Amino acid sequence: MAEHSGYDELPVRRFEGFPRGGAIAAAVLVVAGAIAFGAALVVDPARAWRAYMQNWMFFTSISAGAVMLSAVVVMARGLWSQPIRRIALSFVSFLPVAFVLLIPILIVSGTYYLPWVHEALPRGKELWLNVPFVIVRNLVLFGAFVCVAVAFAYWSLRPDVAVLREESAGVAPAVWARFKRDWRGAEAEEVRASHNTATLAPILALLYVFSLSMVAFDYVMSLQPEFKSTLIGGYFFMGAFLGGIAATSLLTAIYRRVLGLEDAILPGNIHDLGKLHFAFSIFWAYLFWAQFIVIWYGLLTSEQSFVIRRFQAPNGTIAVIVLFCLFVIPFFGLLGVKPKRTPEILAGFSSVVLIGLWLERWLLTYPSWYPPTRIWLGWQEVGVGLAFAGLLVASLLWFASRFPLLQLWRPMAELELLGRGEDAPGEEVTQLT
Amino acid sequence: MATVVRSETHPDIGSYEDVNRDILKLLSRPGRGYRILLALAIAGVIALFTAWGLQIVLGIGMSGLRNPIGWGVYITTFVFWVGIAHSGTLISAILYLFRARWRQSIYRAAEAMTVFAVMTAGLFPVIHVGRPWLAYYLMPYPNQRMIWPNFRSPLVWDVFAVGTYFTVSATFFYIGMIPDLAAARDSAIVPWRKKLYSTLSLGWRGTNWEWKHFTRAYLYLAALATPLVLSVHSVVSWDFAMSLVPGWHSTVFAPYFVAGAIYSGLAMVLTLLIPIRKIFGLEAYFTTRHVEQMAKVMLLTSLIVSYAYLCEAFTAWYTFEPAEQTGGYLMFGATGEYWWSAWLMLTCNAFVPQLLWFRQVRRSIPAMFVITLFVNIGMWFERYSIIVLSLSHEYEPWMWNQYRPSLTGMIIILGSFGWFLMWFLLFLRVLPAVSVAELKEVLPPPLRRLRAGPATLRRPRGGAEEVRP
Repeated sequence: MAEHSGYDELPVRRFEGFPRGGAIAAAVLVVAGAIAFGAALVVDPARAWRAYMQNWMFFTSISAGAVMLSAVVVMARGLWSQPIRRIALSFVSFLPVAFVLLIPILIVSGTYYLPWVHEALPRGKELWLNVPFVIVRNLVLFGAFVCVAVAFAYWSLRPDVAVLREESAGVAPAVWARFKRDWRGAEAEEVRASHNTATLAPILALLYVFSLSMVAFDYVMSLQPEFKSTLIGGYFFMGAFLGGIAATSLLTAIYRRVLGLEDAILPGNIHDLGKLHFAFSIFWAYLFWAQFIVIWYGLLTSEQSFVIRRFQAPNGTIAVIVLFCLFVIPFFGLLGVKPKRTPEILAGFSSVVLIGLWLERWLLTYPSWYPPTRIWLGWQEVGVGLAFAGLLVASLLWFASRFPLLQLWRPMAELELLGRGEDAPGEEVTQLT
Repeated sequence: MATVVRSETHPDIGSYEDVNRDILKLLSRPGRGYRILLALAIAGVIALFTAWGLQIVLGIGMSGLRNPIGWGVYITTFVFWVGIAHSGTLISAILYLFRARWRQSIYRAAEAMTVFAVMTAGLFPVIHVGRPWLAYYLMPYPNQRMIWPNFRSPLVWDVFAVGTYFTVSATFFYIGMIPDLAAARDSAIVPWRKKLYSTLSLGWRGTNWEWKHFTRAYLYLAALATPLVLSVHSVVSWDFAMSLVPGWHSTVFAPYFVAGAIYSGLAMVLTLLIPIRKIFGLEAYFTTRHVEQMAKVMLLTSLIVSYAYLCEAFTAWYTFEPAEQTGGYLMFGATGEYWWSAWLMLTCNAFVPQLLWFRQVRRSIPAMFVITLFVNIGMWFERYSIIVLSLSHEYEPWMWNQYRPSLTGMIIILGSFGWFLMWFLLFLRVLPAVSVAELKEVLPPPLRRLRAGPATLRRPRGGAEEVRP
């Protein structure tokens, strides 16, 4: 089996135990964020909960997007992605946390988020716009997405347990016990895992599309009940996918440096990731434009109000920053070969994209809640964001201290392709400057 | 270390000589089946021009168009053919950039289809305007009479979009063919062919220097052509989405049309290549694996299109605008007098292709042939539903009207298939239909008397030093 993977000679890379520095940083972030959230609740509970919503949307988006990246490369059989797919997958550790964090959102929805609760709706529309139904459909869809994501991660990780068994003596026995259950031998496990990941990946993709579309319908579109856009779901989840690619690029650069993965993650792999980053930045701009121009041209009051609130002063400033961060800067920055091949430079652009996406999720929600009198962006939003960032860091470290960050096994379908003499990871056949 | 002695993608192709022989054989004297097909296609073209001529002489009333349905089957068919044109660039440019190694043997035919489909689509605006001698008004040219053009009209954007697409895809098609034209030149015996290929191959000799520039040019053209795949049908979709006709004014239209275009394009490629592979004995070049890979992309695009249907129907309901609900092609379509069109679209595009989830279906050539026929029909009716249903039920109920395609319209549509097929059949016999040069890249190099044997791996193991040209 391992003769094709090319990684058999590499040691298993992961953090030995929970890294102290990271753990302290995560704890500090969470505590600082919790204090900020508490203070914000005292000052203005509505704003505190809205900051919570914005940050939940952002951190869930990038985690879900990164997990989708790891599922997409399974479906597309992206041979190039072998050294980075586990890093993308590691974001799955945040998804159960995101599910727990969703519950308070659903509870306070009627109070702080959904304005139509207090409005008279057209007859019949209450079938869709009623709070219990909003809670149930989001809980079920997002819950299903998280469950399938965890199952997908389980099967992606499982064959590597064979290698880990010797190494992992004494590390997190409860976790290993789950992975060792019903073990059928390395060969058989790889066949099983290939089959199961190949089955789960498309299901995960469908649930990703539907659950994030539902979040967009309920927590973006319905915040202005008169507004409608058929693209809002697609725009929202493709933005999340871009965020997932950016987060993966950033984390790859960090792990590559910290864990010394330079021999496994080659500039060629980074280059491919950079190309994807570049392409999806353009694609985000395309979807943005496709939505914008139809609304702008249509000149319907019901639709225009959504755009005007976001482009009018002072929110317009944020809108321009978002446009620059998500499209203009990465487009010109990643046009050349070098920025795409150098992990640190790519990570720099990924950070810009992530900041842009954080602001974009703000822009999707806040202007619907507050009149555009000033920019409603302050210590509350940043502070609550610290708590979410801390939880994300802790989840990622939890994953990284337990599982190898390089996937050692390869799905059968990809072995077949390698047998055909197709591109091996890191090797370059074509180059797009 | 062992060497690759057989290509796994094309296991039945033995050597470089086989490729030259099999592909260039297509350029020899055609058989009877081919002549019959060509005769049929030409008959279609004659019918097309006869019907069009009658329409010009007797007036546009012959088309069956009347208020408020100003756009009928002609615009439907225009959008249909522009959609078909998408697969070529997808396969030749996007899959090239994605390093999908299975595209070599099919991309040339797909590109040719792109060019001919745009040529077919281009007929319809001219037919539709009624007075074709004034069709040059569409063209962006400077003039003093100030009659042209309203830059804010999506129709003008469309002229630019389709025109650019045609230019770039034709260039891409031609540039990619140069090495093969040289191969054809070298084996041509008939004088006119020799002359033709000599001219078209621009003196290609296959030197290292030539290849270096060729591959660069090809890569850049691929990169330039890729955004066009998205832009052309987006602009076509805005012909509809910019207006306030119920069912048309929808933000999802651009990505939804692009996905639909790729979907229908792939279906058409398969519909044509499956019989061709049989007729010309090209089974070794166009294998089950190709069909399966294209089936997967079709499944993806079918799901995107289905998602768009869901969003459209949901939003039409959600907005509670009476016009959206009665005029939208999905909400109204499913229950109104055109229910058959809307359901045909849903069945062919969203329901039947769910069979592609099954590997057995994807790998069965007869099943795939039937499914692609469904998709072709479904995609035509999608455009028909969008155009006719929405126009027949706009805001004012007293304006509501029904539309029936006239006989002239139907003949012109069928004739357009003849027109497309005629060009395609001529292409098969005049130009190399499979990329000889690129196919050889994935075949084992000719080593001394090293013939068939089990495939083994040539790759160096491990994360070896990366190779950078």
